[in-house]
Amino acid sequence: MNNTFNFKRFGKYLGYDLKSVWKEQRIFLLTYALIPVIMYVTVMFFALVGHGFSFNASDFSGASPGLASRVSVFTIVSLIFLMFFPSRTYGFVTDKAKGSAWIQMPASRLEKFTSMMLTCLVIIPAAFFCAYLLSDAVICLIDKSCGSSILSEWNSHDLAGIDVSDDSISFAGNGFWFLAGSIMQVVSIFLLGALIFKKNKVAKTILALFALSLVLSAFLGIFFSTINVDVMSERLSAWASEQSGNIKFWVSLWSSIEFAIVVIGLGVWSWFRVKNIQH
Amino acid sequence: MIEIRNLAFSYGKVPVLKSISTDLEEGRIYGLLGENGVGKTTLLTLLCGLKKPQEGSILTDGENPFDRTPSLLSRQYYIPDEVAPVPMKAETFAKEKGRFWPGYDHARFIAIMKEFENDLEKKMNQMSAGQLKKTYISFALATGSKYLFMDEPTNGLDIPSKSQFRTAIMKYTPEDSTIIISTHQVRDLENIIDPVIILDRQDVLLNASIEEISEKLYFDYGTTYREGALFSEPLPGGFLQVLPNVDGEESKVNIEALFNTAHAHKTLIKEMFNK
Repeated sequence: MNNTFNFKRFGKYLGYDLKSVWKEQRIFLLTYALIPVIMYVTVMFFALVGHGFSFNASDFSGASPGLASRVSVFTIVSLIFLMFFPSRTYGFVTDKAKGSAWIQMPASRLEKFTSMMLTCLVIIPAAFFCAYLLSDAVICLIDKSCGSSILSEWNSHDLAGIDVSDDSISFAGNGFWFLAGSIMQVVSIFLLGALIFKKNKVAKTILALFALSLVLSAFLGIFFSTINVDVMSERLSAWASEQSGNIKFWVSLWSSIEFAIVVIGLGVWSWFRVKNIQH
Repeated sequence: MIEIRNLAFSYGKVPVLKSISTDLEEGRIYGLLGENGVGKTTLLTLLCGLKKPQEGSILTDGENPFDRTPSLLSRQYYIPDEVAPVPMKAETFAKEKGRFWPGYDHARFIAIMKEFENDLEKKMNQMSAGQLKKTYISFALATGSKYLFMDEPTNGLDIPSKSQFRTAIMKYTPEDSTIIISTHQVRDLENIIDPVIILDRQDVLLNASIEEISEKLYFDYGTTYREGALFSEPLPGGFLQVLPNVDGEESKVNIEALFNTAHAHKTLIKEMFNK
């Protein structure tokens, strides 16, 4: 028997894992994914209340949530979802009863870890964003006064682009990879928090991030106090003007490297946590 | 076969198990006894790979349980004292999880659940503690695992369930399986456990079969008090006394009395059984 990785057993385990996640987290997932519908119904309900339950269409002009407010809500809801779902989905690993049962499942550590990473980093975020954007699109289709949907705006504009001077840097797939990388970064951080902390996983992860950023800032402060900043900045400007034709390439490369380092680093840490967890 | 050699484990600076060496043979139902805090649960979790030995080794059929290999995991099952109430119907839970154990028999799971008078259609997070425990016991027995580790399995079970548990253990475990049951409720399991392991502070005080115990100790259920009894307890209409079996007489081993005897005469019992 291959005790490291067996594709057939992995497929069986992934199927089991996804079924369990769906059974236990579907309400959570659907609640967040249907926020556009909930928001629309809430706004329209209060508009109705405000107009004394008059069903005159002219009374509702301008009441429906516009693109700007929907994009703001989308950003906030997405961030909250990405912060909370890893601990809801795999936080049980640190629980004595559920964690013991999970360890005892006859699949290898690598299979369990791969399934966890695939589910958290790809499948659940993809399902959430698809369902969210779809429900937003349906609302916009039903009520034209909402304006265009987030999805259609995404397609027509580079939402994830970064402006450098007059030039807009676009990443492959209309910013898709940039967004995917950011999502994976956030999920990796909160998944590791879910695997390390036993209680208050999200709050403790945020506090740990805060503490880490303070430490990093202190180190950077010390670093910059020991070098000549003017010389450094001159060199950087000279390099930037030399590379002006390749700036898109460098920004893309730098963000890709950053995403990769963070996701792989946190992934390796998560692997060792999964490998050595004891109950 | 499980071979334990010089096993040691501590929580921080508090040692729980210290240099334990013993063998657990196939086809036996071991009763793991000991006072609170002597490390019964720790030993079980070490045996099933939930903890890593800090010193020494455990080998189950030549494999280290902490490696958590699918080949070993598919031949063992551990029921902790507190089991997880998953939001799933018992039958669905068993069907979906059972696929990972090659020896799993769903018909056997249904049969054991029926024997326990447990509802297959009930969601496990809506079950009482006893019903939940019975579901896990049914599942564990249905996996056909060679190694079964049970931590206080009869805790939370009502009186009929305790008897059903004994029947199920005897009826549904493969002949070559090794079962290790940690318990304080020795009377619940008196007739099925053999051999008995008594853990003392950091050490194995006794690991002996019922036959060996009855060869070395005599359990007297008479009405007269006997001088030199290692342990004595008044019973309605007489006494239960434990004495060294100098005449080679046969008697029925009372595990609770054995435990109390071993607890009161640790050195003597250790010498007696380690000869």
